[in-house]
Amino acid sequence: MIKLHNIEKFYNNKVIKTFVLRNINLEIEEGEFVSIMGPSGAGKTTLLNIIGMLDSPSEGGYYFLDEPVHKMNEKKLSELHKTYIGFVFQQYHLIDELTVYENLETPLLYQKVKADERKGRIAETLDKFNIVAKKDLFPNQLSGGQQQLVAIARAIITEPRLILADEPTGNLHSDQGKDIMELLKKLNKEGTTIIQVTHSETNAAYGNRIIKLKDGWIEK
Amino acid sequence: MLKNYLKVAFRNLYNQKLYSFITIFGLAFGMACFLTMFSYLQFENSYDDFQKNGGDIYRVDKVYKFNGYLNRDSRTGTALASLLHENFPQVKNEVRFANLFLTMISSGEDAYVEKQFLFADSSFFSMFSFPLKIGNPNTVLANPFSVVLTPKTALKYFGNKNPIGQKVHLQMRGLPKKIGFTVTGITNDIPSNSTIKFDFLASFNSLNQILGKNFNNTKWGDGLFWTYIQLQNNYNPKSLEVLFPSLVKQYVPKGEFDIQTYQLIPLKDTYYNKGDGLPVGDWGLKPFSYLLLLMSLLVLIIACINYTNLLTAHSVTRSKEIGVRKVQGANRFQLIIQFVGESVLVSLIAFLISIVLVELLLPFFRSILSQAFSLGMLASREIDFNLTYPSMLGYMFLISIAVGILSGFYPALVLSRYNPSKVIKGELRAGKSSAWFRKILVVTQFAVSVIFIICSLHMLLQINYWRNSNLGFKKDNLICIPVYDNSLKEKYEIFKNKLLQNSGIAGVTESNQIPAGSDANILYIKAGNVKDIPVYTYYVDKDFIKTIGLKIVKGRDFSDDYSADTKSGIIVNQGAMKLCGFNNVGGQEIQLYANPNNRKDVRYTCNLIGEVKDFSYRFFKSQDDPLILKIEPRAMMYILIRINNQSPTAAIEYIRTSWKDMQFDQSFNYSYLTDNLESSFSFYDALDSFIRFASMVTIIIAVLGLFALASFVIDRKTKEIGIRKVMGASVKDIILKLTLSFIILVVIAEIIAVPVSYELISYILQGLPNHITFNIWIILSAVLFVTALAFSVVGLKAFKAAAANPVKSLRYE
Ligand SMILES: Nc1ncnc2c1ncn2[C@@H]1O[C@H](COP(=O)(O)OP(=O)(O)O)[C@@H](O)[C@H]1O
Ligand SMILES: [Mg+2]
Repeated sequence: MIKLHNIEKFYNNKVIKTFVLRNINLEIEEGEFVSIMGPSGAGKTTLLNIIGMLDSPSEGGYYFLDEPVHKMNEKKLSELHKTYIGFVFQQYHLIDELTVYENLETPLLYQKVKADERKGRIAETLDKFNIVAKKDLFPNQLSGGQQQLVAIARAIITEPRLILADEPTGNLHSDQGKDIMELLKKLNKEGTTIIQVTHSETNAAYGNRIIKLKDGWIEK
Repeated sequence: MLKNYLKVAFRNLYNQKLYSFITIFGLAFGMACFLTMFSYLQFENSYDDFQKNGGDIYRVDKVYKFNGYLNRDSRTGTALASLLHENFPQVKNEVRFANLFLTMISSGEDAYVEKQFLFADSSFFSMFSFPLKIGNPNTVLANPFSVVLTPKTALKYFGNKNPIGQKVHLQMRGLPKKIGFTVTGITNDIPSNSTIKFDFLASFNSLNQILGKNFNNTKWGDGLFWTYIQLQNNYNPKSLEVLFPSLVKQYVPKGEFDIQTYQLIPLKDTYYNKGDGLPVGDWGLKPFSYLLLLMSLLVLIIACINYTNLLTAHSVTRSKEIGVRKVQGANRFQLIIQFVGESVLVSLIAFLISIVLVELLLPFFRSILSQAFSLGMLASREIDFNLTYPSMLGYMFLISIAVGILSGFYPALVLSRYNPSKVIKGELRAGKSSAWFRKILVVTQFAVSVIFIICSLHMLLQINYWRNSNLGFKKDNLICIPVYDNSLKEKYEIFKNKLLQNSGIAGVTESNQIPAGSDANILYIKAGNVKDIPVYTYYVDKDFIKTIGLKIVKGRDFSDDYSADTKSGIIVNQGAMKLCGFNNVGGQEIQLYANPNNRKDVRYTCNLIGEVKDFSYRFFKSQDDPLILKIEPRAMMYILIRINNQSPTAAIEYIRTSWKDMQFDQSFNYSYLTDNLESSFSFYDALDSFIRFASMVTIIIAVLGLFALASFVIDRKTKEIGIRKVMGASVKDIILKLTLSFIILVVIAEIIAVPVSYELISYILQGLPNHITFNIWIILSAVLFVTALAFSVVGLKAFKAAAANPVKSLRYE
């Protein structure tokens, strides 16, 4: 599903070129559950964002479902990640002015899903995540765990084939974190490819592969 | 999707109340100003649109030579209409008007001063579209002494009685007795956008009998007569105008005016084109109206700038939402649409509020506009314009959408540019480019406000300067009574003596002009070799000089000791002495005549007995224009009474009772001379009111905007402030640091505004008579005031932030 070929990422700050990712070669098959680990500043988020097409590599080739992402224009990119990719962030990133229901609705609106189907899918997802009672609450009326639950629900509501989760449990208590990991595991079982960034060995163990990053290099 | 956008928009507005309030009300105020001025202009442009024959109706203006210059005046005399009728078959119809301006009308016991008594030929109703409620349009004005009333006038004089066949009595200055008019018709209400306006419309042929011999004197002269003609359908007025010069040569005698030709002014153009003299009806000044529109547009622009500014600052708070939306597949275009749409929404809310504001502002605007075009004691003008729903609102709706798009576009552009990976990593800082942009906007806002303030203060100073200018006589405590009743002239001496018995009254005199008024008669002088010198003439009584407080510089005042004074004594001002080359008073025979082409027709043969110091007998005109003072009781138009200022009310009460005792056929009606002076510059006063209003609105918007901006910036710095305090910075240091960056912007704005207003104000002042010069103290105080205002507003916010407990803010972060 994902092929990274000699990916480099650097920033040109004034005169100094700072490298963030070095010579990344990586293949991820559909249905995998990959955990990316490494110290802070290693480039994990950068890598995830490149995979998620929010950021572009400075050099190298990126193939998503065998299509060359590094050659695509903005429109094609946004089309691709709109249909295939769901994101989950450490800080949840829900829209504060929208209720749970409306937050879930937003990605469907951008995908131009019809009203009937929208309603059905939201009801289904609320049910699946056990948050029907919370649907009219605003994010700041929820606990962190509940917010992350909603964020995951929002990520999967468009039925993406790939979920990218950047430290999804980083701001949560351990038992809340456990629930989230179980949920991701379940989604993976149902066929969704998952790539997560985590600091915790326990969380990494939920996946079937671990990639270690250090100073931008993948550790063998 | 729209619902999704709307929800976010409304919840954002609701959550940030201060910010929303300032932006929405700023915009609403700007729009209200613009809406009002725009409708005023629309109203002005709609003048006479309702006249069905309007395209073929023209006002005939005389073009005459005076002092070597060509002048154009709409007052034509009474003979022109029939001359045109007889010579040109192209002229289908003609109507002459006479306007008496100030009259006294009575019916039974009720008597009122009326300013809209008009005379018109009986063709009036077939030429102009004023439908009659009662009466036959062909005959209502056919007979002498008929009058048509408006419904309002009928109600005022006759209540619910049937007015037809009733009589109203006219008292006019210069007429021996009251004249009765029979009501023959009632019109519909006169549209407020009609240049021709009247409360009473009397038959023109009455004037023949009323004025008698004098009527013929006004054949070609000025008088208050106007001529309107209707040409054959679509006839080109130019082809008629070319025939006028030869017509003038053949028929129009050289008289007081050296008439060259006549000009046809299309009815639709008469409103903005009054000519050099007084027009019969409403008139406007195009530059004035467009200046007002421009000012209101500036206010609106300031409000838009304020909005853009706050929106740009606040866009940072929306960065997370943008990032999230982008991650979920929103493209840049969709985001721009969302944020521009939000701005349009705000603009439309402001628009709705502005409609309410306009209704509140309209009475204020109307009264200032009416003041601007009033003629003081002579005539008043009601400017009765309204919003023209719904077409006006249609325009404004479009304008507010434009305002929304313009104000929202830049912020939307900035917002949509955010890189989602950065936003999500929390790396986003308020972009440097938008900070620059914001600074420029703040500077612009304050610069415009300061320019407005400086202009307004200069205008105020100028008006005060006029108000307090030395007129060369004592203008305070002078009471002025216009004379309508002719019998008053016979009883004047008795009345005067009676008044003088009261210690509260220091002097009584009369004249044919109000001192420091707008105009004066002209006579020509012949004395020895000197001849045909035009001089202004004041007809007065012997106490005039004493009473109004003029200074004799040579010779003597009029006196009872010299019985010849009443007949032949004249006193001139220094200007006339110089112009005529007189060195001494006395010994010289002086002849006065009205027409330089007929020197034989001598009005007076006189003796120069004295010279007075120059004074402003005409306001705004130079004091040394030549003037003669001559005793002439028959010309009495105003009684002037000087009261002592200890107890003015008692003095006025005394005058009132004496007036009653005299049983004059005229009700008591007076004004202070100073009030009349006000009307000389009421136009500028009105202009200043507008500028003052604009400067108030802009400075309020600018300061509120600055406050919101400062609040926003300072609120984001609470952590930094906390850290600085922990490290030992004092409250004062922090306040200074926070405030300075804003105050610098205001100071830059002032540095820009001062030279601009210098140029602007110098230019404006140069066009005014008796003008002041650019005033450095005004600049200093305006600059100081605005700086202090900005400092206190930002300082207040900074103080609150600096005084807060740092531990709290740090923990909170
Ligand atoms: N815009 C940028 N300019 C320069 N360096 C950057 C920029 N963005 C990120 N970095 C650097 O890239 C490195 C990797 O960042 P990141 O991928 O967020 O690390 P991780 O998620 O592993 O903690 C960090 O050292 C960070 O400082
Ligand atoms: Mg990271």
